[in-house]
Amino acid sequence: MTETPMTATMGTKAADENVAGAGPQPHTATRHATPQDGSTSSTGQYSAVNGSDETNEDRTRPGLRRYLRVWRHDHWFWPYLKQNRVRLTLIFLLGALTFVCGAGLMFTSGFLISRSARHPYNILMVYVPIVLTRAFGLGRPTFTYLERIQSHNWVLHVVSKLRVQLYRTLSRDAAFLTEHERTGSVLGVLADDLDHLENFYLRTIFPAVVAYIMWVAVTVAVGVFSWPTSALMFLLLALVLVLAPMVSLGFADGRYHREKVARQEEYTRVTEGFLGLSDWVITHRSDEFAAAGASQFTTIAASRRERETFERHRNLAIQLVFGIAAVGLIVGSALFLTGTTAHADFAAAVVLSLFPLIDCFIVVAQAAAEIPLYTDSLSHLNALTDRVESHRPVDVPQRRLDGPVRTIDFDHVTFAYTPDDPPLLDDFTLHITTGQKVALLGPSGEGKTTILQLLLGDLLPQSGEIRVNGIPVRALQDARSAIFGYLNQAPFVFNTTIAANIRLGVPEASDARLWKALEDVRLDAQVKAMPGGLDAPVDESGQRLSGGQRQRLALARILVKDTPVILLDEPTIGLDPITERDVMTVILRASASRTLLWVTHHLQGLEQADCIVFLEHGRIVMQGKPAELYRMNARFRALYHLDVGESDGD
Amino acid sequence: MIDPRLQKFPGFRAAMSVLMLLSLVQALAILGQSYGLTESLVRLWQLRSLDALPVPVAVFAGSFVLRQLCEVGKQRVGTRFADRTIAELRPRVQRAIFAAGPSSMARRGTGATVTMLIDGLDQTKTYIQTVLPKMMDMSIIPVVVLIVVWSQSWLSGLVLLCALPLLIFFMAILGIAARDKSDRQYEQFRMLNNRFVDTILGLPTLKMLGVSQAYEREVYTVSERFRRRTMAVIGVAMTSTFALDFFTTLSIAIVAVFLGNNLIGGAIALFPALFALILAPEYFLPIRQFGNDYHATLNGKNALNDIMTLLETPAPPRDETTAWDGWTPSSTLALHDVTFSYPRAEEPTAPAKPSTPDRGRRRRGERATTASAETTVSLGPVVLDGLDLELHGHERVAVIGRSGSGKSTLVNLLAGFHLPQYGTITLDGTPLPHLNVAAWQRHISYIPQTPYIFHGSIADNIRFYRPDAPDDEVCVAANRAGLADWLATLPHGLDTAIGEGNRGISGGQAQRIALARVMLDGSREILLFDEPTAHLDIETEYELKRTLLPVMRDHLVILATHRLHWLDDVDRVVVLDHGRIVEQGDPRELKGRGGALDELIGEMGGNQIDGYHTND
Repeated sequence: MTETPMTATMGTKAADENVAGAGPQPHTATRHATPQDGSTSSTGQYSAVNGSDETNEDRTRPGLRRYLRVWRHDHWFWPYLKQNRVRLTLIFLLGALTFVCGAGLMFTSGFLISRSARHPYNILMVYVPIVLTRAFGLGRPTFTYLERIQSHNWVLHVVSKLRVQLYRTLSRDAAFLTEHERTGSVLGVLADDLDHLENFYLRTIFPAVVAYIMWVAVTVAVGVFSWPTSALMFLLLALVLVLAPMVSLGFADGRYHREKVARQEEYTRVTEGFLGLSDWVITHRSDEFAAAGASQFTTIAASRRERETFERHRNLAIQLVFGIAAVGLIVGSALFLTGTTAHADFAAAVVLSLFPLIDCFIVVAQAAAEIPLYTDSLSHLNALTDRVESHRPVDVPQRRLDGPVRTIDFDHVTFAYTPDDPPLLDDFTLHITTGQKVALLGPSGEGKTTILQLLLGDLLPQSGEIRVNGIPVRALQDARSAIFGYLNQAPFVFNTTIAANIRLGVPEASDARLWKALEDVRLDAQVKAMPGGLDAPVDESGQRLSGGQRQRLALARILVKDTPVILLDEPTIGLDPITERDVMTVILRASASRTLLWVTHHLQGLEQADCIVFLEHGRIVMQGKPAELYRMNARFRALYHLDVGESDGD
Repeated sequence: MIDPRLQKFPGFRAAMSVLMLLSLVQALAILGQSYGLTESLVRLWQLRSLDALPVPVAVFAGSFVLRQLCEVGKQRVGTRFADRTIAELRPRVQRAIFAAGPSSMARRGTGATVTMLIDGLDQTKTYIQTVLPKMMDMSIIPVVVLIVVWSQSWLSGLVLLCALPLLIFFMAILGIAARDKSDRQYEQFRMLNNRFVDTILGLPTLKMLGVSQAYEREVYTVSERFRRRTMAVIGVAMTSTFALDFFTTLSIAIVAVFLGNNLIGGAIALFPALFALILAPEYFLPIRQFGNDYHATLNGKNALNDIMTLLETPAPPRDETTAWDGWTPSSTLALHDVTFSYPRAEEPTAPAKPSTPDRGRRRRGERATTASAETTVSLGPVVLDGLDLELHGHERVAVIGRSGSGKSTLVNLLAGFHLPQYGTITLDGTPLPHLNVAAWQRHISYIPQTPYIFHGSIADNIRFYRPDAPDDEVCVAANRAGLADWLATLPHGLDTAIGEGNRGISGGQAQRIALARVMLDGSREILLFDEPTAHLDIETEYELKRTLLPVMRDHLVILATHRLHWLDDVDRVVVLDHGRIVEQGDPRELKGRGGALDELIGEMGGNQIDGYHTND
């Protein structure tokens, strides 16, 4: 029942992440076709993680069987229990010893007093109980302490492994890797799920196992005095340890889920309202604003009230069972221990030792009630594993690139996320020779980024082939990090030093090489000015760097890696025009000798491209050198004028 | 231990009285239960037959039930009070957020504010319903128990009494040490945990660089470091729990041994000895329970504090009384010497350092008269510095400048979200200290880069300014905003649900929905745009601009942008630099004069194919 500081803080943190995720990220929703439950559409798959569109049919199935089904195909929970049997046995033993000592303390004290009251002529007669009393008195807090330290340490250790497992699973998950604009929400949910598993061990598994061990221990111990009493205790404890948990589980089944859905809804409504605060203010509708999410709040409050009422009454019932057990022990003692004074001295001992055990048994019902919560998390994680396992690409024998990159070919490529969606790319053909700078333009959602992902081999086309030097990219996956450098609009900057960030792809790169790269991206002076220079820390997520600096740092990383092909995915979106211009100048200068494939939404700065490709409805609608297009194509001219800030049409 | 501000909530006294009564009854029930149990055990010890048991067993059982009922009752009272309190707090917090306005929200952060409202109230509930009953128990039950134990065996009573300061001492340590330790480590702690999420976010980058496998080790190392840190924090708490437990059980053991010795010596009879022993754990129980829940409630305490602080913060002044009928072609808004700085987030005692010292000093002295509510807030650097600006009739004004020059701040000030610290504003002859004026805001429309789209149908979203607008008008507005083509592709047309969880919409569509709102509500003659097209791709921007231009004609338009193409479609351009107007006038006249505007255009690149100034 004790909430340790860890679980408490974790709770807050999880909630924070929830919020971060719940906020509608303004740019995210637009890119993808409607989420379908198809095989590769990542949006659809991740929404399942949120649990909101799990089928109702599944929810209403009889509880226990559903849980068993989840656990049967589990990759995230049982393996760790199995791996660590010795350690876990120790933890369970310590847990049981805690209660043995608690009961033992009252047992020996009761006996000590009863025996002392017979006025033994010598204190040595009660020497053993005196020593035992002290031993149990010391033992209980010691074992509690050891058990907690051990169990938390073990669980956190498992969390480390779970994180690696999540990392490894996601690193093989095409849907995750190709989602163009990943929101934090998915990760928030997955990270939450890991936290839930952590609590599953600490709050459900450990206390329950200890309680069941103690059930056996109590049955045996009482049996020493009287078997009928022992049988009575066994049955009463069965009510507490079997019936009450089952009823609790039945009651909680679906309830946590409903509360969670309502909570998610509340987050959405409130976040939406807060994001639109300025519009609410200028319409003066403070009452309506104040009501955002209120109905969800009321729903949750009502559901929780019912739950709390149920828990109160359940705990009352359990306590009453213990009341009956105490009376049973008294009566049992009266029947079986009043034969001789030697026996009678144990009566108080037996009865009193029941009370410390209540703490041990009463938690099991609540632990069972929380199973649905954990099962949800477990099924998310298992679904992730299953999806990744089922989508493992067919192994293609990997080949080496024969010499430098000479050509890149998109050969009649057609691609759609699902067969039902209109194709994002329709018979797309493009021939690029080494050193060319090719810009890709087109309205949002037109598959520009998809082209880059297809070239990388993260997505596979329905028909057609993408080749580098005539070798299909599928067969170049082992070599791809040596061929392609990739820069997107939000390059990931790790929270470590400048040097470590640049060295990421080439750990052995010398400082001189780093400085050269920084010079190429015109960041050398700024880094020199930082305290610590190359070893200056980049604050969390690169917060200390401006948008333009982040782009340059990420570019430096690519330059050090020295890949012959650089892919740019709207690297300047969100930057102001002056910074945008600076960054593009740096990129073009630094990649002068390389092949560049460049997705952009602006025309300005494209003057130096060798070829501009306009996409619409998955097809190329305009293609050519910028100066040619400018002269020949009225539409291009109009757009170009707009972009550089001149009135169109003249 | 209890936030004094809690006492002001309705029902607090009643709840506390009931809780006190129940705790008292419970204390008596504990005595009864222990008495019945002791008496039964003594009779067993005396080898009396089953016939001697019914009365004491009945006393035990009756008291036991009563005690549990008291427990249920207390939880019920606590929960009810907590529920009522947060149900009452929620709308108040929402209203306070509303009154504090968008600029306060921007400072606080949307995410943090949502957390405060939803999770904060949740934690507050836990805090209230846990702490109140346990506080009561802790202040009543041990006292009653101690008195009775003392009456039975003064030595046992003394042991228990002596243990109390130790317990309190360790509880204090538990609180202080854990708080210090977690305060110090909390940030680091969170950072390490967030770092895992970050690493996963960076996974595509790692994979791209071909090092994703090597980074697995890093994930593990970081997690293990996280584990050690967490264990350090938990360690402190557990050590103090250990101490708490240790002294409790040790006291019971000492009492037992003492009593044993006294019994052997015949100084005490069995009944009082056993009674004292049985009562001893009950003495410690409420204290230990309170200690156990201490951390669970700490978050709630802080959350309540945050919420109360928000509620007590005075809202920025707002003018509901000034009468004004709207913007006409002959209306004038004049800003004179308007100056604005953002409040500094740090402690209010730090003296603010304005960028221009003597101006700032003058301002600081006079500011109290203009915005008296904010006298204690220290200010950051001046963002708008002595602006003089006049807006007339259906004028179209572009505000341009480098990032950080104060464009958005000016638009927010015109919307009434930022209140100037100095300067005067005159609206059609009425002097105003700021524009957080209800009558003014009724006639403005504020369209940011990402307009407000909420969960609901497209029609509902368009109706936002006029919830009662008939369908046909909504349809007309949607068509004028250029939504017709898109709507035609949707099976449910205007009734299509949008917003989080429903169909996502693009940035261009969001802008058009915001426009449709304006068109539906004819009384919003003033359009404030903050970078409406900067993030759109060039073709979407081109299309959107074609829709926007006709709308801009019969409105007062203020457009903060760094997209220069707007310059050809406005009547006036205002060039901002470091919060000052460095140039303003007709862009057609200013272009090519070599002033601030030209400088800015030059920095942004211009036409590289044909060369700059094609339309000269």
